[in-house]
Amino acid sequence: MTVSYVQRRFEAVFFQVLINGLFLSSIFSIVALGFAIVYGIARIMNWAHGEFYMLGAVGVWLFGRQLGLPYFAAAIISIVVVTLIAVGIERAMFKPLRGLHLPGFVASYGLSLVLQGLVFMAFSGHPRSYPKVINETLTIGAFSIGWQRVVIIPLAGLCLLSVFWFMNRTKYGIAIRAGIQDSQAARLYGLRMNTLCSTAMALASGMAAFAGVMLAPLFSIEPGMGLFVMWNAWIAVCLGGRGNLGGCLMVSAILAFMTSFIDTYLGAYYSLIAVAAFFLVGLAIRPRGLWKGMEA
Amino acid sequence: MIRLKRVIVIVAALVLLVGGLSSSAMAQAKTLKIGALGPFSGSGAEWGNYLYQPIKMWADDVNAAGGITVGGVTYKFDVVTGDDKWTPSEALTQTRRMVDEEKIQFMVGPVTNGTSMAIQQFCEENKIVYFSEAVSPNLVPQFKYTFDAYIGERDIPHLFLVAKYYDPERKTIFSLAPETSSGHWYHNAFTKTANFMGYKSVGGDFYAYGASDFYPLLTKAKESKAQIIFLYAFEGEGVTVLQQARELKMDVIYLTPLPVSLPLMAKNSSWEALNGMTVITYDGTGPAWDAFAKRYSAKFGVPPQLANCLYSACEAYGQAMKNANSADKEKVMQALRAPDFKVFTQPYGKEIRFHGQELLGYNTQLGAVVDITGVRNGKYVKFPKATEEEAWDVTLKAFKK
Amino acid sequence: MNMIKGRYSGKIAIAIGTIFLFSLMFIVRSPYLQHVMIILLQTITLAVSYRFITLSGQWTFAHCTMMGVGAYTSAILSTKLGCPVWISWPIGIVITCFTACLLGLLIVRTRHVYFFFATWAFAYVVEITWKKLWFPFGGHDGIRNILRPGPWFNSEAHFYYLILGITLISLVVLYKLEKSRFGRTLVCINENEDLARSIGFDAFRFRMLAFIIGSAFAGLMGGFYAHYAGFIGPDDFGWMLNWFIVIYIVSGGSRTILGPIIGTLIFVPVMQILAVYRNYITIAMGLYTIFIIMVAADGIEGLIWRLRHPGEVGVSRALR
Repeated sequence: MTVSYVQRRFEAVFFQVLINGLFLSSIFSIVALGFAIVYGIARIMNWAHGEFYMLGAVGVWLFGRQLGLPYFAAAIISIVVVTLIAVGIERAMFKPLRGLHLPGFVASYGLSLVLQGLVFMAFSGHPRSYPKVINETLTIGAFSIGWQRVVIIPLAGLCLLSVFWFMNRTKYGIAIRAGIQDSQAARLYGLRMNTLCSTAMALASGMAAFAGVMLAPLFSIEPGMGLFVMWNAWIAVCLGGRGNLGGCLMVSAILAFMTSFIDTYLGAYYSLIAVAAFFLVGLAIRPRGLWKGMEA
Repeated sequence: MIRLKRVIVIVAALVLLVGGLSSSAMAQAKTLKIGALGPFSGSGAEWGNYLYQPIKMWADDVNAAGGITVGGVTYKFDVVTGDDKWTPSEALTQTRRMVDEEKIQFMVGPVTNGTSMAIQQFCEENKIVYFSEAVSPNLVPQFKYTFDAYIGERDIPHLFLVAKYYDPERKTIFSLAPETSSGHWYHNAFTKTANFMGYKSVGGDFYAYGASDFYPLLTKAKESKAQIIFLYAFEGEGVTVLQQARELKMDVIYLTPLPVSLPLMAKNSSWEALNGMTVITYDGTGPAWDAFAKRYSAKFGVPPQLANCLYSACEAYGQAMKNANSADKEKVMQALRAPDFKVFTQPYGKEIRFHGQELLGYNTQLGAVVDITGVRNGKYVKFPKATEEEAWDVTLKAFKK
Repeated sequence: MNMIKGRYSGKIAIAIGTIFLFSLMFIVRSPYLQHVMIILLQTITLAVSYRFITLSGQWTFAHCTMMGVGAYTSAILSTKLGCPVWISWPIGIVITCFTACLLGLLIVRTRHVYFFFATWAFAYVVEITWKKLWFPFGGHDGIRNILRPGPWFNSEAHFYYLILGITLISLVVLYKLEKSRFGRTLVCINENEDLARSIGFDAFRFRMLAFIIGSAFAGLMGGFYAHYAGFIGPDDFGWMLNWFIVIYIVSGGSRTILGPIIGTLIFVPVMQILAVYRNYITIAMGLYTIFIIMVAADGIEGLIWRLRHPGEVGVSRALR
């Protein structure tokens, strides 16, 4: 009797942690995938990618709370606006830096400072919150989780599926994959890198903004919120290998579950150390990525 | 030879520049400067403004009232800022700049323990009184110029007394605090008080400062079957914790020791987030407080946490100047340290004094218990407080070394 | 300053500069400005040692963290164990070398951005360790009441001469190292690693040595800072300062040893002056970074070089 009671209690937490891990991996994979696509095709490690995520959340807050639009309208407008901004930045700033890894990264870090600073100045650093769209909670026995959180998992899955469809079945998607694989050969075949890079950036920033928009009702909205996802996205791409989109997704999932488990069972700070240690060890063992990526 | 000439010209220019810089600051006899040392960039950037605004408000108020006249001279006040970027080394550099170049009279800030400790020695040597915002900056009795703008210890038992009155059947507590030195301090203080008052602490954890997701920690809290959550979190995180705990269907009430400024929280999120919740905290109430908040809002917006404490700290300094009848730094410090020092503060509408003598052995923590307020079933209420004597009594016993 | 042409005027310039620096304490009397000079000199040594590491193509994000390792070691030994400063300080440097060695073993095989980010992860782990462990690191509060190097050190001027001496010696050492065979091998490995390997150079070992030597200087500066300021905390060696060092080198240039010096001399005073515009500092820094990368990726020094040698393709040791 007591054994099964303990078992049931343990399972409740375990299940909770599992679902939370799924939830986190949905978020991480959307952001990481976009980041990986841009890195793959333009060879730019864009630290400001996390800021697109943040701008998505800030946008939905701005259009939803401040201007009073309903959630879905605010969400769509926010995603569109962020995408346009991102493509503009790509054309202005990232185009001349294509292929230069470190300068691209340093410049993108400067960009993230600028974006964070602008949001801070415009809206002050107060963390904001956005009311939930779905207020009900799903309860199974001892375990409960808000529907708003659960619903993100299938939504993210849908997003990933549509990206998959885009990359495999549409002209632009296949062209981007070709560009990732071998940019010179792609050019020889007449593909325009400028268009491809802009499309990739539009896709990536759209995905990041989508993640931000989905998370706005769940997390607090503030200028520094991008770091949380960006850190993991970065590790996912580094360890996944350049151009290896599947590897990147795999590592995102690993990181998400690691974070969820260690946070709950050990403590909040230990997951940060574990993730960093995992990264260092992974790099030490396989400096070019855990799976075979395309050589930069 | 041309190269040599070029070098000489450059060197001469440097000498002039350096000489010019060092003689740039001129002390003005009738305007006293207040230094506001806090983070204006980097992590915690919003705290700088939270620090600067109440001080500026006080300076403007005093100047509008004609300044402070002591020893036959009328003094007006001006505020200068130093950005410590949340790091002790920069705090020291900025303090030096403000003291040596701007010639400040006294200082308010900084915000964290580390930065407060970094400047202690320097401020002591240069006779600069400073009111730290850190919760308990490891004050050492021989640093006479270090003061604390608010007192942490005394208000925790108050919260517990109210909880006991309203929800006596709740006995188990889980504590949630950020991974900072003040987070650890509050966690320890709360545990002591809880044990003393007969509550059972079933766990506690620290979250990374600036974290967005409290799900894992709240899962832990739920698992430990806590009935009360002791939450030391700033407004944004506080609201997120409340929301996420509601998602998890946790039946808890909250004790939060920071003057959380519920109106600010409500403005930035929404009262719906607090529906059905019980949050016991403290906040300003009463006509004096409302008047202060109204004036503050007109100038800067809704007053953030600790605005009242910082404003009162400046008022304390002004009062000490009057008591000492001088603007001499050492005399004012001694006036502040007088055992019977009291100051009437506008935000509280009453006289407050320094605390800490019985508790810590030195009287340097300025603070007043405001009313215990909070949210009860989604409505902003004011809880009748236990008497101050009762709270003080519990504090002394709980924290006695 | 071109060190090859006009060799005497270059040397006279250095001599004048050195005399000027030594006499600066008599010209500048404000303690705050003296403090700024001390920090400036310390930062210059940090920047130049950072550049030394970049000779082998490694851009680290953990340079200030290494400084912190040296600082914490020296501080702990001298406060908690009562070690005299002249012993604890060198031990701090040794421990820093050891840490750099450990880190290097993990990540020296990685390249460019990966290396950069790995050192970032390392810096993060170390910072969290300092913050979490109340013993012996003092947690968030850090370590206080760190002794001065000696009882006679009681004014800024003394510290100034100490750091001036250390900086000048460090600059000479690093310059000589760079021009030596070791330094030239590092550059060779950076330019074309495969070719260097085929000649027989062990790229891994050279890179490790460069990393360790650069970090040793960082540890040296860490020990100095701990005993100068009397107080250190984990935030003193965090990501922001790590980032600043990168900006100094990027904006100053890493062509010659003067690049980081120029970058530091421009950036540090400008940041102090701009501190008044507190709310705009972050944006200003970001814009400055973007501007530098877009316009002059090899720094101001590179810009000057390009202006003076139009059309020439020089050895650009810019970020790659």
